[in-house]
Amino acid sequence: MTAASGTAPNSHVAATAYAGRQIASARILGRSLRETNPLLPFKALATEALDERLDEASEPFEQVGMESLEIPRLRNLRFRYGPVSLSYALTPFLLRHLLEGGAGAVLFLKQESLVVGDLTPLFERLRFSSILLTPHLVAPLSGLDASRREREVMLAGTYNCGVLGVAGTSAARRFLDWWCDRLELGCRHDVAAGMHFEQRWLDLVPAFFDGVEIVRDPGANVGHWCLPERRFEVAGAEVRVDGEPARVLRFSGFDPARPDRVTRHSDRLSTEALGPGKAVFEEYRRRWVEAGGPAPPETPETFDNATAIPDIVRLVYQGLGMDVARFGDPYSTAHAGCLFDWLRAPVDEPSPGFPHVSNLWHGVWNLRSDLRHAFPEPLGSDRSLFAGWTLSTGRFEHSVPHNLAAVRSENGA
Amino acid sequence: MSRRAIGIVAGRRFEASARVLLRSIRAHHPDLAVFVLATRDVDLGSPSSPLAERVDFETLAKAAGSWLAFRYAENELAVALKAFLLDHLLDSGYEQVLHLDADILVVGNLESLFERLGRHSILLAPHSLSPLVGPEGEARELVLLRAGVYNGGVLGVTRHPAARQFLEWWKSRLREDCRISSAEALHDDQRWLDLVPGAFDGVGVCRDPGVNLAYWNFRERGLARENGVWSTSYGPASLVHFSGFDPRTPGIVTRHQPRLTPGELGVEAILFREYASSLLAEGWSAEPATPYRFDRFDNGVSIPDIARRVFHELGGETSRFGDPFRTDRATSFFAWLRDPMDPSASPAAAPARLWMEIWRRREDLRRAFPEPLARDRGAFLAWVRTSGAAEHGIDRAFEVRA
Repeated sequence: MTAASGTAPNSHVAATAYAGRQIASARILGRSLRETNPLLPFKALATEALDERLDEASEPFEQVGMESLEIPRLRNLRFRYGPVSLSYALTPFLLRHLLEGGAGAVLFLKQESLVVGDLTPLFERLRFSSILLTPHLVAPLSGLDASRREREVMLAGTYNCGVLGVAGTSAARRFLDWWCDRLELGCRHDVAAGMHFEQRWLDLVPAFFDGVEIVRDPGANVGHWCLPERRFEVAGAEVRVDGEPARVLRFSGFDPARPDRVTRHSDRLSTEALGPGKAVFEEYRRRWVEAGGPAPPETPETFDNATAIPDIVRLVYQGLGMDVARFGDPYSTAHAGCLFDWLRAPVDEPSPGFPHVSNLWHGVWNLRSDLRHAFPEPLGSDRSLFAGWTLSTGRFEHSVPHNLAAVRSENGA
Repeated sequence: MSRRAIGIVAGRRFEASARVLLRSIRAHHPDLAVFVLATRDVDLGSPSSPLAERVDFETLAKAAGSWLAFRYAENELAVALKAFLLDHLLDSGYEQVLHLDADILVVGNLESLFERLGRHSILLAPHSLSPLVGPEGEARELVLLRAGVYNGGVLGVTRHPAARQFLEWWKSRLREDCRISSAEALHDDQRWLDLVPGAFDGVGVCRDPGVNLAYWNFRERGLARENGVWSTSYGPASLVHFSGFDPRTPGIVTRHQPRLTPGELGVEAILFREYASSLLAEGWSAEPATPYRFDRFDNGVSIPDIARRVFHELGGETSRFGDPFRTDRATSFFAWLRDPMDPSASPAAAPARLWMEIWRRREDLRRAFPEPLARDRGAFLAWVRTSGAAEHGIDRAFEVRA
């Protein structure tokens, strides 16, 4: 694959990644792409098995299987992140896969988006640049909460991952290789540490790589973060933003069951406050109902012994970094030295008469500053109190199944 | 008037650094207009041919408004005033203005940097130009993500309207939020720069490896010297930044990474040795010879940093105090800080508001004296007298109400 073929329109590809529970969003996005960019191939990566929910022949996208990305340690990534964060973490892997498969330029669109305009101008930019980034803010904010809102953006990342382009150039591939590398462990939400899932890393991209273009077109990527500042004009199917044609509208955090609110990420915005933009949210809701409405309750992912994997276990696993290699397949509960056994194993041998504390709960204590405060010495003078808390409160707070919450003592009891 | 200027801000302990920088600028650009905004009276060489022109600190600090000179301690104020200095120099008619931190050394010609600046409204210099390598690469990148992708030490603006918009915005943010708190996306003036390429027209990212060499990128740049000329693996070197270097401890490259020694760097060690001796030759001193203009209330009592912080956090509420430096009114900020916090006690036996603010901010004190206005009052006041005043450098005027 060489950069030169990147200009042929038939080598343009749009792509998304979604967790199985988000299939309605992926369908809405796919259908909107067919209406507005009918010749553009659209590939979608699902991070959960879809079983009967997927009807490949009629889906408005071409399904990409996770296995086809040939990701080393994929099962560790799946376990570490869970289906939704995994869909973020796999973004660069998907883009790299599509470039390797012959695409000349790929535009990544996050699943909760609606394409309302021609994407050709964005692909055109990729004839001359390697990486397209769309900033959250194309102008500073004003008003009383401007500084606070700008800092929220800075904590989440200057650039939004919802619309991102790469061309088949060596600079783009260097970028994707680096991003894949960072996301193996660094797709977490820890803003004080400088991390906001996959997105915060993009702040470094204009400094680190050649051929980066920052798209300051107000219609390229419109979401709650730049509303109500960017003004909508809606005339039938034509949407303009700040006088420019809108291309991708974003519904991050929009709950169609609460259509008066723009996003659950902030309570400052009602759809009413958007003037003509309210129609856009109504339209998204209409499409959501058409695409099947609320997702059925999710069956949680389980270990291979059918024990549900609570989120807190993923966080403890994240905290172990690359050290998890020693456990082998994290889902497996059958082999000696497996993660499941380690989580339940006592962290130490207490004095007679004192309770055991398992690696899982010791890991939870490490993650939570409130627990560190309340039980400064969970293996010393606070041991009984802390062990009591795990049984009376902790396992309910974190939905830890009984067989995982209990300590597995040395004699196997 | 010539089109180009350099603006330098010199805070406490940076007087000698500024002179070293000025001489290095003169060595490469004898005729360039250079301006220094110094928090103290800094010697700029002979009055007939000074190393730089002085911008009056007191005037600029007062013009910045919002009682910035009270809100911020000396070096915070110096950082916050950077944007004001750049704006002032554009107002004075310069078309391209380059800011350099005082702890930078010019080691090569700046022509190409100014040419690059001339093609943009704003020029930003990233800390690093490529992914960071080695086992600590990811951790070092996270440091950049917390501190800011672009370094506040090298920054250019031009007479482009977008640069003016940027400076207006930056000034307004720096009036309120020029401090370090990574959980709040703050790192002095610097973290704000991350938004700039997205939010303003014509922003250039200076990806010249010869610019702003420093401990955070030495490993990637490959500095070398041949026949007295410094270069990197990629071409000529022009600016070296000695961020966090203290000539009293020449064995440490930067206080930000105390384990890094010049010996580990290679040829950069020569540069550090020469820089340290230049600083000492310029009279570097940990204790400045001249006083700081905004150090004290008008009655001579030293302003504790905590008082500045409290004033800052009160935001708009401070308007009722008027000039925070003044002490001659019952409604002054000074008097408010000294208010005894327990009206039922005799004033001599009640901690002043300032001390309660300190108590509120220190977890160890809250633990040691859970009820400082009730049963722990005696012990807390004893701590104030025996330890607290010295720990926080707080004048006895705040101990008890006269």
